[in-house]
Amino acid sequence: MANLLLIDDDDLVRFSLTELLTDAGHQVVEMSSGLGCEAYLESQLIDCVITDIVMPDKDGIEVLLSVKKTFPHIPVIALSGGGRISGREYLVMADALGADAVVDKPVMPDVLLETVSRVLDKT
Amino acid sequence: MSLFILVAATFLGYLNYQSSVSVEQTTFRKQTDLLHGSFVKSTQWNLSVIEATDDVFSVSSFVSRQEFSFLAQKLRERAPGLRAIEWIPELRGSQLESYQRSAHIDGLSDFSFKRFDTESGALTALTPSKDGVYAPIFYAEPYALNERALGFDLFSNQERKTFLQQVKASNTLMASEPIQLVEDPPTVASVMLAKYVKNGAQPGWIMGIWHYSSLVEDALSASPFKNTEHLRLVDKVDVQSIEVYPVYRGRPAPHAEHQYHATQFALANRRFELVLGFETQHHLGGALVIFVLGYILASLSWYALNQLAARQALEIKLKEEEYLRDQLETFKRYLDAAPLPVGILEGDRESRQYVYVNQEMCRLFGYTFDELIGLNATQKMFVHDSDREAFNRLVWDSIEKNEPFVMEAPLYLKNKEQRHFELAGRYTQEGDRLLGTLFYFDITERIQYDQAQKDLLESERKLVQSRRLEAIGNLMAGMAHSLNNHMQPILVLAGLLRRKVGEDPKAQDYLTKMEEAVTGATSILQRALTASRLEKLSHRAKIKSSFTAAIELAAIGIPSTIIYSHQISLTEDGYVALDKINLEVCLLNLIHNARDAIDEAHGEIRVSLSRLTPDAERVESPDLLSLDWIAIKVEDSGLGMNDEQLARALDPFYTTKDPGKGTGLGLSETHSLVMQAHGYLTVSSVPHEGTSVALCLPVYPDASN
Repeated sequence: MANLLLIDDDDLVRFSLTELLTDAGHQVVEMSSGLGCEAYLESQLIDCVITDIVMPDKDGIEVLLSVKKTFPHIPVIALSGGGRISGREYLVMADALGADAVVDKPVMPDVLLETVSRVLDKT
Repeated sequence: MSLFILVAATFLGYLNYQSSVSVEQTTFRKQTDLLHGSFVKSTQWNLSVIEATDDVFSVSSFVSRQEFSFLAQKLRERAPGLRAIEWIPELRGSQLESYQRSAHIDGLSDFSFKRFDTESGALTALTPSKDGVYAPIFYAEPYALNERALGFDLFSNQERKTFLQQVKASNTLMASEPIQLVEDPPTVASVMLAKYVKNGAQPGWIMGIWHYSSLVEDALSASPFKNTEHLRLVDKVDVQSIEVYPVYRGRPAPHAEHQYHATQFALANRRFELVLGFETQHHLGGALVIFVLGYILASLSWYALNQLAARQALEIKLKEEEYLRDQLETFKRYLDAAPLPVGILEGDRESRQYVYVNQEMCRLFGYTFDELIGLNATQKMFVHDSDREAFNRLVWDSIEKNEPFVMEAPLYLKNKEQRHFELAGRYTQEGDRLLGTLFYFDITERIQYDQAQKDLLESERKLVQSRRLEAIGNLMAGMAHSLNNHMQPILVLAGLLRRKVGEDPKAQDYLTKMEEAVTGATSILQRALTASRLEKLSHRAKIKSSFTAAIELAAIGIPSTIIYSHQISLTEDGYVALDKINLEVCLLNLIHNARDAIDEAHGEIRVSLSRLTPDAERVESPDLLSLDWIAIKVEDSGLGMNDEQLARALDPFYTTKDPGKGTGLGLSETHSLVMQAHGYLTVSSVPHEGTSVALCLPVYPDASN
């Protein structure tokens, strides 16, 4: 099982996804914003980052860019609720900027677990 | 002396005969000359003619110039203190010309033309050429101490008017105030002749004043008669016939002893009485003189009156003609001043031609006046045969109902350019002839303006529509994002819960329903986003096969009581810029809407695929017009929509269906997809009859973008 960093500003989403991933046997560290995630990655061993896209302070695209720049070996899964100005385009962008997987919210639990396994298998 | 009178009488009698012949044989001008020359000069009688209506008194110049000359001379001889004599004839038209021709010959340099103001008593200088209006003919300034001088008695407006009014009111000629010359010589007498002239509804008068001063005076001075007491009408006069009113004016000289002799004579079936006074010692032969004088007066009066009447009649006729000419000229001037084209037409039932057109008509239509006159307007100008027929019907209606008509139609100008006119006209029928007046209002600009206004409103409407869609789209996108976030924990936690509740079938079923609800909600959000988002599509669907597949798919949801038919009338196949799934979504949306619109069990849905000539105004860019186009039309016999519902039909979430039956997304989603495929959607509907929706799409020859 793996060490996962989950970044999402929505408490309930974070809670439920953490429950799901933990239930599946992963170690999950939660962050409610992308701020300071590089420092954390520096100090801890993380196998995969799962990040929401639309967030205040530091959004998922920034997270993706900085993670891929500093820690190119850590896979990133982008997650978003969609919407014309605030979502789907970002997902397309995330895909283009090197996200290892992009997932539409709401994602079925099985699909997310599967995606995580697939991304981890690749590395 | 008696011999002289007899000679004079014979001469005058001859003249009278000659003149009578002349009246019939010569023209008016010659008659006038005759009066001017032979008659007046030979008699040296002062004759003036006053033409009068109720309010206006004017005086003809035709004998008075020479009369005046004579009178003036006499007046000055007798009244050395006389300061001014005014001769102010009516000067108009031919009379003015006649005056101007004769002005220099007469050499009346002492006399000026002045207007006498009866109220202020002032005399105003007149320029005949400029002030060519009526005025009193004679005006002699009152001789000192003699208030009843000529000008006042006989010719001042007020006196004359009063007299005439009395005559008219009583229908008789009555004695007027004594006419007195300035010096009031006892031997001067006058004859006033009056004729009431009827010219249609207009009453008029001819009046003549004779001063027989010279003749009578001369005759009397050499005769035993020293004074004329009176010459007066014995009968009452009927104004409808020739009337002669003789008046004697004079006073018995205070210093003389007179005997008075009277005779009566007939003139125009009227009896006159002439009373002459003479000194007793010279009374022999008096009766003869009286008789002769009576004869002279009678014949001269008769002659003069007839001349006057003939002249008056001719004058009236000429005036009428002149008036009509003036009227016509004025009429034409007004027409030409009019800022819109006017045409006057005449003709028969079959064709009518212009008989008069104004300048604006020539200018606007580009014809010359001569080209338009005689032109068959109906034949030449109408652009459409239907307008020509409608116009002819209006003309006949106009005649039958005696009402004007108005119609709108494009007309040809001479250069074949078309302009739009409003024709206002009225026709009348006189025998076989039709007469009409047509006014042409050029409304080309107005129509263009109206069209531009309409286009503007339409584009504004479209703009509002697209802004509204955009705003709704933005709102929806934000909403969808948030809702999707909220769905996430439900899905995930339901999944986790599923493991916790174990094998309990009821609990498992609840969780399945929860997950389904979330999936359903998510799918609605997804569709809403599609409806409000322009997404680039990557595949093109083959038209015929996709159409057939969608038709079959949709048939599953249609009850068997509804007649469901489809038709393909398309020979060439091709591709539309929608992927197969989306084309199916579009068709399913339309067909399911049609199904839901049929509230009763029975109804009909017809789906067709055919070629289309695209509406250039609705096509996204002109390039697309070079492509073939198809229409996929779905028609139902359902409830239909009213205008308000139709206007909102494309709005997301707008639905006419009962709550729970529809999301209101179908048509807006379809619209959005069709727009992405560079096509457009048409919706038409009649309440209670049905709705017809067509997907209009350009056809591409291959599948790749």
